[in-house]
Amino acid sequence: MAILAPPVRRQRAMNKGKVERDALETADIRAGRLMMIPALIIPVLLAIVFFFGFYLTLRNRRLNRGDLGFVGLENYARLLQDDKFWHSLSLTLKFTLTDVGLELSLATLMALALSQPLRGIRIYRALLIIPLMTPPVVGALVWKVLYRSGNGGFFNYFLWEAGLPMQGFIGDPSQAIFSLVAIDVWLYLPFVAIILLAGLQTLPQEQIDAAHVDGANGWQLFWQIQLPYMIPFYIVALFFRVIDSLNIFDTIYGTTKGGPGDATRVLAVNGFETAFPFFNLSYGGAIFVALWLLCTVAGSLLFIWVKRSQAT
Amino acid sequence: MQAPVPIAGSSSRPPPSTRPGMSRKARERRNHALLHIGLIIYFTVSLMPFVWTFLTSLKQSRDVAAAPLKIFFQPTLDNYRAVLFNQYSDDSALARVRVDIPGSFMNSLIIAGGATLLAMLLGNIAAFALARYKMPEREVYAFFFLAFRFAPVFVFIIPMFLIYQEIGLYNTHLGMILISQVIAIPLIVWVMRSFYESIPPELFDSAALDGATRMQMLRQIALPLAAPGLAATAVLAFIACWNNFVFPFLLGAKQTQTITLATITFIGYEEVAWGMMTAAAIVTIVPELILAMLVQKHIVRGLTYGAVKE
Repeated sequence: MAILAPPVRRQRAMNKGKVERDALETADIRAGRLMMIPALIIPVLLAIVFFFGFYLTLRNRRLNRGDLGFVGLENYARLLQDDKFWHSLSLTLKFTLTDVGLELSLATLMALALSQPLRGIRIYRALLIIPLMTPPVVGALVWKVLYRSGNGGFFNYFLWEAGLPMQGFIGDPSQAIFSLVAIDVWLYLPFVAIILLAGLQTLPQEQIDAAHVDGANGWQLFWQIQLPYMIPFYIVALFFRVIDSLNIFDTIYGTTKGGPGDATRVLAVNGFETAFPFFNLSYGGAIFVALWLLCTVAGSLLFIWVKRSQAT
Repeated sequence: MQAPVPIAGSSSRPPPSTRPGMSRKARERRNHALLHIGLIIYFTVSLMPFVWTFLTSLKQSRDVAAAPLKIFFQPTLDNYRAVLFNQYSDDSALARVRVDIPGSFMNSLIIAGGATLLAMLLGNIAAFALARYKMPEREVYAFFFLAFRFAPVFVFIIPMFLIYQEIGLYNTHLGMILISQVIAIPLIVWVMRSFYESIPPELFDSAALDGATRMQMLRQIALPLAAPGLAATAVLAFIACWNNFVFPFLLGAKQTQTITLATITFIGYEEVAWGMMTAAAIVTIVPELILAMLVQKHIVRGLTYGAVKE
């Protein structure tokens, strides 16, 4: 293979002076670049496709009627006046804030619990990752079984037995989005918990001991020592969870498909429906460009936060 | 759902290896008991959906549909017979709902397996290069890969849909394997890079003195030393491809129907074939759980793209 430097030349280079070592380093860099190429081919092609996708939003491309010509920014102008779009945007933000907020706080408790020297801790940790490995769509289906309406449904059966009013869950417009948050928290709380747990375990024991010598109680220990120490781990968790929640699609498609009414029609579902079932590829694409922008803004804000927290 | 966490009780936390004689203080023992109760409640709640799914998959269709809910019932393997061997019993009120689960399972295996193999080959070479060689622009590569993890897939799925139909990759296994690279390669590059970076560079330097080529260093030093990480990364890449829903949903049809996609087709407009759907869900999840348990140790690093190490 071309990227392999002949061994003899390397040997000589290692034995001789700085000039040849520099030459070797240049050879390393060239080889490194060549080694990147195979992995880059598909991502680079997709990056080009991304621009083609953006160009598509400047046209009027229909799934059923073909290309109806160039329309410039018309799709974006329409976006600004589209109530359905604003509704799905605010729903997406509502979902993300509730979801990530719950996941971070509950996962903090879980991580603190699992950082204790408990008997059988390994069993707990093994159990923890089970929901995490489930395909989101299948996880959603599993919950769809639990949420079934009437006293044949799992949750409703117990409410009914207890003499409480039965609930609509994913079938009730006012409960649907929170019922979906519950599914997502169930799926991803373990993910956040294992990140935070890994963080807690790298905190030097001396720091905890020193805090105890100073007479800190558990509350102070958490707020003044553990939490500040874990900020980078929280940021990692936030990166993944914020972006994935903004993009939420699978679990909703597996349960409510955006309904009832528009109650769970988040951006990704809205864009998908516009592009495919409603045939408007260009306008659907514009919705996804908006979603992409939202993810980019969220990612950049988190990135700035990382830089700031590193600076201090 | 969770018990309060008695941090104060952990003042004398011994290192994990010397755990046994921990209960010196009664208070600590009480706190731990509370913690156990909290954790057991949490795991009961968190695993209950699976248990209920499993029970539902053992029900006959009339028991599934029963209201009020039946907790005790005559178990049957009819649903598994239907989803595993395509044998539909006449009893089933939903016998006309026919989904080829064995075929979909094979599709999932071909697509996720093929995508993982290809991405492991391409991704490991790149990860090794990123870890070993000081290209001035190496963070640009790394960031470029990461961007795919954080971009909404739909942004390129809509144009890909048109392109795939144009170039004949629509509804083909090859097409699915190629598009899945966008999930698998970034993961492998990032996770394996962190494993390769933790190998002492002196090992490579001395190998270079012995005249080893770059590929020999990768094959004979880096790969063996990173073997556990390699296995964990392959499993996670496989699971990520297996779990993917959007690609086979929009870029494929009958010939590439994966098992996640097949499971959802049990939901009709009027009725849901709950029994068969839950049986299919169990069939989808079990192989993944077995794989995941094998590589538990490196799962944090894998899931966080190498950002968090245990």
